[in-house]
Amino acid sequence: MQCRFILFMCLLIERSKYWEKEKIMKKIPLLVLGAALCMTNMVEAATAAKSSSDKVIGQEVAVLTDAPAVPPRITRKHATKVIVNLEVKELEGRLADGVTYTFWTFGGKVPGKFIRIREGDDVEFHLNNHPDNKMPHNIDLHAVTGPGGGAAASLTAPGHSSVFSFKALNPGLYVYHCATAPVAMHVANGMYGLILVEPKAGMAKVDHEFYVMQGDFYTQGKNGEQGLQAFSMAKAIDEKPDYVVFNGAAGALTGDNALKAKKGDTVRLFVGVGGPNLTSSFHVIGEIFDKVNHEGNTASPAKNIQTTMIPAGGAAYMEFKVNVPGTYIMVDHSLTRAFNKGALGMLKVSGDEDKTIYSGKMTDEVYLPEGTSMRNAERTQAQAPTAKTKADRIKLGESTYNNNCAACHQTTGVGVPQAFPPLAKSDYLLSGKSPTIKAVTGGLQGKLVVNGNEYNGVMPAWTLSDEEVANVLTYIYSSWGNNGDEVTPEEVKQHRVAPIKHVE
Amino acid sequence: MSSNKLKLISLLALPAALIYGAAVSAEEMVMIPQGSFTPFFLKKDSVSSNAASKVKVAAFWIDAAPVNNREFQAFVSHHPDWHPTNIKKIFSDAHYLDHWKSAQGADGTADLDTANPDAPVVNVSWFAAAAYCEAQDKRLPSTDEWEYTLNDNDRDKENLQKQIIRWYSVPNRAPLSVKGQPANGFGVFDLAGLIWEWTADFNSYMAPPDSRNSGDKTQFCGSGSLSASNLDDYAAFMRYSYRESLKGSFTGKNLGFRCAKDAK
Amino acid sequence: MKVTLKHKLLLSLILACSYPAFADNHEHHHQQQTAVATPSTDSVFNITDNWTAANGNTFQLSAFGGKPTVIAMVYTSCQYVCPLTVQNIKRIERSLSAAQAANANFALFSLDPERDTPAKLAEFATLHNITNPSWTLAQGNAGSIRKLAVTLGVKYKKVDSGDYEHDATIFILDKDGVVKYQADAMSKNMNGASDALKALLK
Repeated sequence: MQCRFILFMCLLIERSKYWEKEKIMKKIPLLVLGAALCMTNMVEAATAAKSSSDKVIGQEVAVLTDAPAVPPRITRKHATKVIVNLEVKELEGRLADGVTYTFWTFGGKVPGKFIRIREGDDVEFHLNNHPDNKMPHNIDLHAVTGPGGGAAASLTAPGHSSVFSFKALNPGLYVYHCATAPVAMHVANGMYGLILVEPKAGMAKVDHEFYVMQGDFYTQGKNGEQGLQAFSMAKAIDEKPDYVVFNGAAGALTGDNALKAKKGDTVRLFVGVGGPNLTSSFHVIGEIFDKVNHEGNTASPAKNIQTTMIPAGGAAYMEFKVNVPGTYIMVDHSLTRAFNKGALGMLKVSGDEDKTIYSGKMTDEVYLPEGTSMRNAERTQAQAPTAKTKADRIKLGESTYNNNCAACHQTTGVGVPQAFPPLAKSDYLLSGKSPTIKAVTGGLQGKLVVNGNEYNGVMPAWTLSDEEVANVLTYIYSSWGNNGDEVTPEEVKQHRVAPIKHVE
Repeated sequence: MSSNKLKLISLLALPAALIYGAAVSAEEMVMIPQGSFTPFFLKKDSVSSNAASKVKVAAFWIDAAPVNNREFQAFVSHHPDWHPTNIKKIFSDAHYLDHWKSAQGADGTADLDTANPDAPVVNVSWFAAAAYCEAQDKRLPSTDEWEYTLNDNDRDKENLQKQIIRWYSVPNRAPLSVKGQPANGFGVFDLAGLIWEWTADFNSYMAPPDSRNSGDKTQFCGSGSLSASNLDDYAAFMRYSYRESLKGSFTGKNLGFRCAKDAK
Repeated sequence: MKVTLKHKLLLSLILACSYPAFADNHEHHHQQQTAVATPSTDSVFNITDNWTAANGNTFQLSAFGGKPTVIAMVYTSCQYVCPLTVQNIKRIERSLSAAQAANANFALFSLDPERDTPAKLAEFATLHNITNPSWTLAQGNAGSIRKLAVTLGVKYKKVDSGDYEHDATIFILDKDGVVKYQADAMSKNMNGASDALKALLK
């Protein structure tokens, strides 16, 4: 409308006697000028509309994903109505090898589904409580501005559904969790996830986006105790977890479940901490975060960060380019959580070596304070039944191996290049049972050559009974092409040593 | 003196309960003598050990075990209004008595074939439970009466809490027969570990649905806001949250009830 | 089946409303409106408890049938919230024309049977200047009160002092006793409630 007016006025002026008289800019017809003015007006209006489009157009059902997958980047340039359907399901699942736990989940897994929306969106949230569940549940999304973050409006009995709406006013990476009393227990059982509110300008494209969420678990039995474990209220109140894991289970991101990328890829990690209690010191061994958006803020990333602190009930996202192939280990840098409780994951980067960036002698050491003796790994099995046959030994040993050794040496026995020696077809094992028994019971440190490769790391001493050591070594000798020897508890008793002192 | 009475009654009730254990009948009631206990939600400023903060409970009778499928079926066959085909929407949601095989027997009675007759009846709304109790000339127990019975005079509190939390930790399974576990000190069975139970005034608790600000006043006119007397009692938090989430017409796969009666 | 019943109801309503006598005489006796024979499956009229009004007459909820009802649960000794609730219901009443108001019921049910006798209710009515015969103040026994509260979704609890902690909600039922609208009784804005009521009066 404005345009037509401008053109009309131009026409009038041109036609008027005034124009004839003044002979102003006769060479350029006024109409053309008017048209140009119009065009710039239109372009301005269009860009203005684009950049501050708060008008909600259309509606869509949110695409929700299970960790570590992330829903696709948002490319629309306007706000929309998003319908989120999230189902709460209580189910028994794997917490560690041989250990199960009853998880309370948003969408069937821990962490809950990843929700991705845009600043300005109107969300219609459907919280559905499966009729097979025992407990009432609700949801508090840290992205919501409103009482309880939605919790006040969403308390839902089993077999029922609650619906509430909110507008995403602030961009950022936010945690959501159940807030039904007792909140600590609901969260301790796995009721947390992430919701990303992309800023209006969107997010830059990267090659890979991954979803990782850390949580602490409190079980009646100790770490490694087999069978279905019940929640321990006393340990939760004392903040003494038995498991600290990424994505709901020990090993959820290791071995075959490791994250994957190619050399030269850019990676973005969305990392949250559900808690209920612990803060994470998140670090990727061998990598530096090019950018870290602390506390999930979208405005100002910090650069070149080694370890970032993510509070319980908080999140951060980080970006980095993987320049060198290899396996990068993600940890909570509160180290006993990583090595004794499961806070360890992997990013496997494939591709050709680039010796200019990295020469190949990566010393991946476990950091030990000076002057202390070899760290003792905690006993992991409370009661181990005795093996009567070699087959028994192998079976029991496999469990012990997976709960203790696999973190470094891998479930396939291949170890980690330049970090942890392989056990598969290992020449070290062929040197005799006595050295291997000494290694397990006393620990090892210093230069070591296995299968032609040099290692210079630290292996902790393990507090295991003669029976347990015999079982785990028998398992190792019987696996992955090794020589099939059996190790007996008597042999262990004969050759075991005390943990060696750490030498600087 | 009331504790002596209590011991006497327990002594009588326990063997009686054990004897009748095999013949599963919720008709059998146990007399709970008057007493007092610290309720889970207290007035904000009171100290939980303070005698004044205790709630007095007058003597009452309570069913020794939850009402079972067989008993409820007898009720439904005599009260066609509560038959699954006749029940009004305002009195129950669509899952009323879902666990009974078919809603139509030859004479209009519901068929119990696939449901264990000795298991507690579930999938019943508050209205249905209240109607059943009324038909027996009884009533639903109040929340205070129910909690007081569960509390069992603090006997073996830690194990009771552990037992309850273990039940919460296990995914839903069809309830087992009543009286599968020993009775408590009062001689009452299955207050924990079997099913959730309706109470007469389940809709009276002041904890707001977002229970983190239990200190805030969300209800009006009363003598002040309430807070939990024992923040470590996760089991109790869960019971109260569960009741909080219910409406009278709701049914649940593991939600049943038992009846109570005033002591004369 | 339900459809034809509703039609019957509507028809009876139209017929009933055409009698001026009906419009004037609004004493809520136990007289059943013939229009509401069998309440529909989600109607509160399925509750057949007896209530006593301020004037001493007994009635059942189905007596409200044939007209939409604005209903809340209060008690007379309540200092702040309940008077506010009454004021808000009056606000809704004032938003109607005289004819409309005559075609609606306004009902207050007491949570406090011990102290709120019919006489006390009558006193409360005078205090709050409630003179319109469309209004009913009622009490019943503890069991009936609990049942009504559970049906509507009102939470309440008697506390030591004899007072009651309770929700503050105003409900609007349609002519058949089905809850159609809920308003926060503490809100200053009764427009939503008033619009809902007007829609039911069409």
